Parts: sequence; structure tokens; C-alpha cells
Amino acid sequence: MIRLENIQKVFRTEEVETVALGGVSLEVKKGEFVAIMGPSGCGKSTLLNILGLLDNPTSGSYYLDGEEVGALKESQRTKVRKGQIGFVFQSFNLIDELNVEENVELPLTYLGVPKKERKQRVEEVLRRMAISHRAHHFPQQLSGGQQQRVAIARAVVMNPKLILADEPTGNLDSKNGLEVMQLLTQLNQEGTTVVMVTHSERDAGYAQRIINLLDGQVVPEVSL
Amino acid sequence: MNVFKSLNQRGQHNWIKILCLAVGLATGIVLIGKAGFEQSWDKDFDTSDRIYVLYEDIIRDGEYQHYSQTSGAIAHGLKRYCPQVEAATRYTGFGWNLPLVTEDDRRVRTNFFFVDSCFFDVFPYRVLAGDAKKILSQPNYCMIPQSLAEKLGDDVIGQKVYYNRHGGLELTIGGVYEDIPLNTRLHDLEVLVAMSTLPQITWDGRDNWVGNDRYFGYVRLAKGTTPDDLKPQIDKMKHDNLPEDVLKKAGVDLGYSLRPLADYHTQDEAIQRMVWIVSLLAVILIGCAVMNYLLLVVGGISRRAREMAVHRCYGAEALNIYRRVLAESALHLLLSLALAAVLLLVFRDTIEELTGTTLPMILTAGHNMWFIAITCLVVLVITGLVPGWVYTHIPVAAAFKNYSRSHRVWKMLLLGLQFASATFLFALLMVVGRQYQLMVNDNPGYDYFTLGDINTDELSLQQTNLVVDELKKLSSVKGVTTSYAYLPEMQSGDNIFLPDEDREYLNVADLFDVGDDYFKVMGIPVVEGRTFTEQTDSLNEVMVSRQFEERMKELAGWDQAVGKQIICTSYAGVHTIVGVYEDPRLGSITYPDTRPSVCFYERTGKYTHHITVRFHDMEALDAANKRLHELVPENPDVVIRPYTQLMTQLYTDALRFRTTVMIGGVVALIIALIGLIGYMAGEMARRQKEIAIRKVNGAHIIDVLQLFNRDILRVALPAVVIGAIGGWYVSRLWLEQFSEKAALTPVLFVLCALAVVVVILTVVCAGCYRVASSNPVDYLKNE
Repeated sequence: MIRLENIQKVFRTEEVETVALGGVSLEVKKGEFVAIMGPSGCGKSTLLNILGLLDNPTSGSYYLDGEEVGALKESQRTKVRKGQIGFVFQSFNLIDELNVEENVELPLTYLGVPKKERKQRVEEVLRRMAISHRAHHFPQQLSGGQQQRVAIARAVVMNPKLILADEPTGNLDSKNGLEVMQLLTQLNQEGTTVVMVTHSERDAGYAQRIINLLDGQVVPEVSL
Repeated sequence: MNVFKSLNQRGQHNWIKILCLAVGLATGIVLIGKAGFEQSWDKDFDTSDRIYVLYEDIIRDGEYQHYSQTSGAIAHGLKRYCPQVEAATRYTGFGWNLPLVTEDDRRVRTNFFFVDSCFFDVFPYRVLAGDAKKILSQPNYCMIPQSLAEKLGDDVIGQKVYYNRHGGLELTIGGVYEDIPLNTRLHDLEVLVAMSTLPQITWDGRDNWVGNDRYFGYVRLAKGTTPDDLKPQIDKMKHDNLPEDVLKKAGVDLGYSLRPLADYHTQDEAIQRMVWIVSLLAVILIGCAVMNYLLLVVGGISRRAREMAVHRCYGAEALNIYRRVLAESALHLLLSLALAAVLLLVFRDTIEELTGTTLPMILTAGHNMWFIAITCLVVLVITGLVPGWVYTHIPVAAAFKNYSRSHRVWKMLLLGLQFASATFLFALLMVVGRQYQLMVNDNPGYDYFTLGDINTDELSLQQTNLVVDELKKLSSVKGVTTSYAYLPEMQSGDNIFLPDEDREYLNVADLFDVGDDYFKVMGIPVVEGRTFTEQTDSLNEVMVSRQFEERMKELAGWDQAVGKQIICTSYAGVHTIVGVYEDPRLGSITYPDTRPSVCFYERTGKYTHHITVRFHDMEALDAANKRLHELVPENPDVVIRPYTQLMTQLYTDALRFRTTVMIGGVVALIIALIGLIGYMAGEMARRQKEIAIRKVNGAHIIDVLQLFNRDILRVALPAVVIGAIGGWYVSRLWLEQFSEKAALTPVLFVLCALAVVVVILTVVCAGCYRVASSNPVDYLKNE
């Protein structure tokens, strides 16, 4: 599903040039659950941003479902991203002014799904995430675990092929963290490809495969 | 997402944005409306572009002058001689703000004009009752405007009304016409008295071809005709009717020309200058509000960028973001407009007083609705598209990583523009204020601080004499005199000849008759000869101004004026000059009458219009007024008005402008300071860790304050310099209309700039003091 060939990402300021990714090549198969690990500053989040089409690589090729998407413009990236990729962030990134239902409905709105169907799908996913009873609450009224469940609900509501999770348990206690990992595993078992960045060995244990990054390079792959 | 929910978004200061935008829009709309109103004059009718004002062009001693008043016969002469003239009319005023008295003794102050029967042929205002042609042909008949008719009662037709001057003039109301709007040269026409009534009240010059040029003449030309097409017929009219030989001998060449009525007001230099300045103020104020809006948007960008990034993550395209931001801006604009409308209604009286027109006129005159709509559209585009552009250009990945780019260049640019605007308005305000002070305190050539004026238009001759005699007896009164002229007004003109010569030497301001002790009471120095006295044969004497003497030395080779004889066109016979007085200022500083002047001795009292009272101290004014009311209890409106008050009224326009600039300046400064406060709050949030680290490393509060002050000064200093230069330039332009001008000293502008800098630095210090004085550990912990 995902194939990266010699991906480089260099951040340049007027005086400093920082190589975040120095020629990363990897492959993620459809239905896989892959964890990306590595120390701070090794380029994990940069890699995830490129995978999620939130950022372009400086060089190299990125094939998503066999299509080269590495050099797309922002507007084209948005089109590819729309409905295909779901994001789960460490800090949830829920919109404070929208309630749970509206936050989850967001991707469907941009997909142009009719209102009736949107409502139905939102109700369904909230039920699945066991958060229906909080549908009309605002993010500030929820616990961290509940917020992350909402974020996952938002990520999966449009049935994406790929879920990208950036430290999804980083802001949660162990109980809530466990619940989130169980949800991601369940989604993976239902056929969704999951790529997760994490510092946690325990969370990485849920993945089928771990990709280790160090100084912007992939270190030998470990099969579990 | 419902845009209404975005209103209360944290960190976006939406209500402050709306408030600032509302204040900026309210003041801006008023100023745009005022500028549009001034440009909308005299365009009421389909035929407006064919209505022309009749001008008299005079060449005397090689000097070209033109007046928009002519002798009585000219307008209808044009109609007779020029087939291209479809209609012609003339009118002349005989009293402004005079009491119209009804039979049941109700009094309404109004303006009286003698108007010929063709008035409504040229100006097709709707006649609501009566046959205008017939009414305006009959002596002692008049037409009144609808608003006056409503004041007088239900059935006004046939009612007798009186102009109560020197025994009164009886008029019958024959018709009612729709009110003449404010945006026309004719706006002060109210009671239209049939022209044939004129001989009852003044000298009859209706059929004069030369002299008594008091008539405002207008013609309507046939379609496709230009004034140039009329030249041959005008020349023939002149040849047939003007005493050309006499004029030639007098050294005068007289001609007539036509200029579009629609240009009369709009092409006036003073009006154009005012429109330019008012438009500039409007742009500055709305610009300040928009800049402030953008500044607050940029200030709250880190928070908003993350939200927008979430939208973009989940499929929002650039168009979605623009649409969303535009919808929010539209909502903000709508709320601002609603608030602006409330402000306009709440301050309606002040606005109408300041603009000299009505609020509906401000909003609808000419193309004002379009101007206002376009302004709102521009505001919407800027406040919608700029933030949209900013949000769509922040990389999504960067937005999630505590996007904290300072956008300092943007912020500084926006702040700089606001500082420059505030300084500009402040400098302009200082100059306008100084000029106003100069005008109301300037020495016009006589000491008016202890003078009082009584307008005698409502008094009979007996009452006038009684008042003069009785006021003289008051111990608080130093002297009392009478006159025809009121010096702060423009004066009537007369031509000066020498006995046995045909040459017309001078056109002078004729002060006409003055009473006993006039120069002494007024405090105008007599520099040569003597003043009029009852003991001598003053009826054949004249006094002239020093400028008159100087001009006659040049033109007639006089060595001195006293003892010389002159002929003045308004007075029969030869008069001998007995004295020369210093020229007082005639008219106002705004509209000075710079001609030499002459005056004659009061003979009958018939032409007295003013009683002037010199007090020892103006505290005695109330007691004197009380005595006046005892003397003429039937004329409660007759009062002694202090000259200081009259002088201030002369400069109402300047006062209005000063107040307008002051309001504009205050609004601009407040908006700029709100922007600065917002900027400081954002900078404090962004740089609190930096401040803490600096403090840990030994920085004192003063060092931190200096750090921020230095940053702001980098933009504030050039901005205030630019603002002060702009203020100087526009002030200079504004001052051009005055004969006496306040000095534009560099010190004034430096002080203005410094004052704005001090205010800015005070706000900066207040803004960063809390963080600068806090325990640095608190902020490091927060990080």
C-alpha cells in the first residue's frame, strides 16, 4: 500500500540546514499494523507527516496504492488525503468550539456526504467507540481518554484505508492508553492499515512490525 | 461549522475586532457620506445638466473679477435674446432667519426671497398647492415650503403672514411647494415672495441693466446647446442695452457668462479640498479598523492555525478555508454594521450638527449608498481574504507543532500604519485647533470682547431710537452706536468716481450709514482727519479706510484723502472725505472682504440694522438684556448678543471640522492602542520564556521594558515621522482657505510625534510590566 524510496527531508533556515530524513525507504502492506519508533528528533513525526501527505519530501518517491504522491501540490495532496487517510494525534486536536458529534462529522462534511447519512454514520462510530453518551459534549468536558476516542472516531468515520497515529497514547494514563491501543488493533483487524509513531515499547507491541528510526535513517527491521 | 460559534472562540478577540470595525465603519461611513453629499449638489432634476448659473464678468484696470449675481434685467434679457434659452429666472434674498408672524401672532424664523414667476420653470420642484406662475406674479403673495406649512397649520392657503420689519410687510400665502433639499445652492430658499413685492421694501432694480447686481440668475438651455453658442446673442444684448460708452469711459468692461449649476458647489476649491480631506480621514479610519482586525487575526494565528490544520487534515481544501474565513468575516462585518448603525442613531444629532446635513442624506445622497456598499465590500474582501490566505499558507505539519511564527513583519507593518494614522490625525487636530483659536481670538481691527450687537430688523425706528437712548443711560454701558453694516459679514459693493470724471476708480465695500460715536464705540482708530459729528454738516461727508486712501494715491495721484471729494454710486451727490480710519477686517477669516471701505453718516435711522453696545464689562450683559426686554417687551427675540459668540458662530465650519478631526483622531488612536495592547499580549505570551531566561541570566525589569520599547520604537519612530509629515502636508492644504493662518512650526509636529510616542511607550511598558516583574520560574515551569 505504501512504498517509500530514498525519501529525504531537509529543513533549511537562513543559517542552518537540518536533515530530518536522510534517505528512508520502506514498505507497508495493506492491512498491516506498523509501529515507528526511535528517540526524539530522529524524524518519526516528519516521516508520519510525509506518509499522511501533510508534508512533501525534499527528494525521493512516495507511492500510495501504486500512485506517486510525493511531489503533489498541497491542493492535490488534499484530494488524495480526503477520505483515505485518518489521523490520530497525541494531543487529540479536537476543535474546541465543536461538540463531539460535530468533531466526528467533520471529515464527512468535506467529503460531501448528505446530512442524513452523516448523522447515521456518526452515531454508528460513536457507538462503536462507546462514546455516544457524550455526543453533545464539548472536548473540554471530556477526559483525555474520551477525547482520544473521539479523535479515533473522527479518523475512522469515513472508513479510511490508512490510519496514521502520532503517539496516540502519549497524553493518556495507562488505562486509557490501553483502551486506545485496543481500538486501533480492532480497526486493524477489520482491515485498516495502521501506521503508529510511538515511544512506548508496550504500544509498539500491538504492531505486527516495528520500524526503528535513528538520525533520519531506518535501522534494521525487526519482525515480530 | 456554524460561523456563529466562532464568535466566542478563545484567543481570537472577535468582539474587539467587531467593536473596532464598527467604530471605524461608523465614523468612516459618516465621512464618506459627507464627502458624497458635497459631491451630490445640484443634480436633482433630469434637466440639471442644462441649468446654468448666470455670472457677471468685470474687467476693471486689467483686473478680472466675476460674480454669480447680476443686475435685474440680465436673466430675462438672455431669454429674450437667445432662442436656445428655454427658461430663465432670477431671485434675490432680503432676509435670513427673520420672523414670519402669523395673524394670531405666532412667530417662525425663516428666510425670505423675492422670486420671479419663472422660478419653477427652471427648477421643477413639486408644487403641492396653488398655481406658482400666478402666485409669483402677484404683489404681496408668497409660496412657502411644505415643512413651514406644517408648522403654520393645516390650511395655510390664503393665510395672511407678516414680515415684521419697520412696520411690516403683509403677505398672503398662495401656494406650497415641496421642501428644497439640502444639497443644492438653493437650499436656503424658504418663503418665496413674488418679485413684484420688492419695491415695497427696497430700491427697485428689477429692470436694471447695470448696477444693483443683487440678483441670482439661472437659465435652462435647450438640449445640445453649450454656453459658447450664446456668445453672439449675449454680445448683441450687451450692445443693445448696456451703456457701453459710459462703461468704457469708466474703464470697465462688463460681460456675462454661464457656468453649470452642477459645478457651482462641487467644483468650488474649498469644497473640493474639504471633500479630499474628509475622504482621506474616512480611508484612514476605516483603514485603521481593518488593520486592527488583521493585527488581531495575526495575533491569534497560532491557535487558529491548528484548528485550520485539523480541517485541512480531514479534507478541507483551500476553497473551504477561504469560504469559512470569509463567512466569519461577513458575520463580523454584519455585526459591525449593525453596531455602527446603532452608533449612528445614538449620535445622530451630533453627526447632523457636525456634517451640516441629515443622516438620511449622508446615507443616500448622490451615489453614497454605492460608496458605502463598495467600502463594505472592500472591507469584507480584505478581512476575509487576507486571513484566508494566511491560514492556507501555513504548512499543516507546522501548524500542529505549536505554530509560533511571530509574523512580526506583518504585525509591525500593521502597527506602524496605525501609529502613522494616529500621528497624522493628531498633528492635523493640533493645527486645526490652533487655527480655530486664531480665528475666534484674532484681532479684526477692533476690540470686540466687550461689544454686544442688537439686530434691529424686528424693531421700528422709534423702538430703535428708544433702545439706543435708554441703553446709553446704563452705568455698565460705555457707549452705544448704530450702523447699517455688521462688520463680520461680506459687505455690499459700490463704485467710486471723482467729480467731473467718468472713470470708475474703485469698487469698495460700502458700510453705508453709521451713527454717532461709531468709531469710538467700535474701537476702530481714526488715523487722519476727524469722525462725523452732529455739529457739522455730516450728511455730505464720508469717511474712508486707509486702504482706500492708499489705492487713490496710486490711481488718482492723491497726496492725502482728507478734504478730497468723491461720488459713491449708492449716494446722490458729492461727498467730502473728512477722516480716514484703519481698515477693520470685513467678513471673516474664511471669507474676507478685502476691499477698501467707505461709510456715511446716519441721517434718518431708516437704514439702521444694528445697534452696537460697548460694555465696561461683559458681566453686565444679562442686566442690559433685561432692560432691553423691558423696553421692547413685544419683541422677545430681540437680544444683545455678545460679539464673542457671534465671532465663534462665524467659524462654525472650522469648529465642525475641528470636532470631526478630533473624533477621528481619538477613534484612530483608540483603535491603534487596542491593536498595540493585543500585539503586546501576543508578544508576552510568545516571549514569556525568553523573558524568564533573560531574567534568570541577570536582566532587570528595566532591561526587559527596554527590550520591548526598543522593538516598538523601531516601527513607531518612522511611523510617527511619516504621520507628522502627512499631517503637515494636509494641514497646509487645509489652511490655504484662510486669509490668516496658524503658523505651521516644525516644533508643533515634533511635539505631536513625541506625544504619540510617549502614549505608545506607556502602553508597551504597561503591557509587559507584569511579565517583566514576575518570578521567571513561573514561566519556565509553564513551559
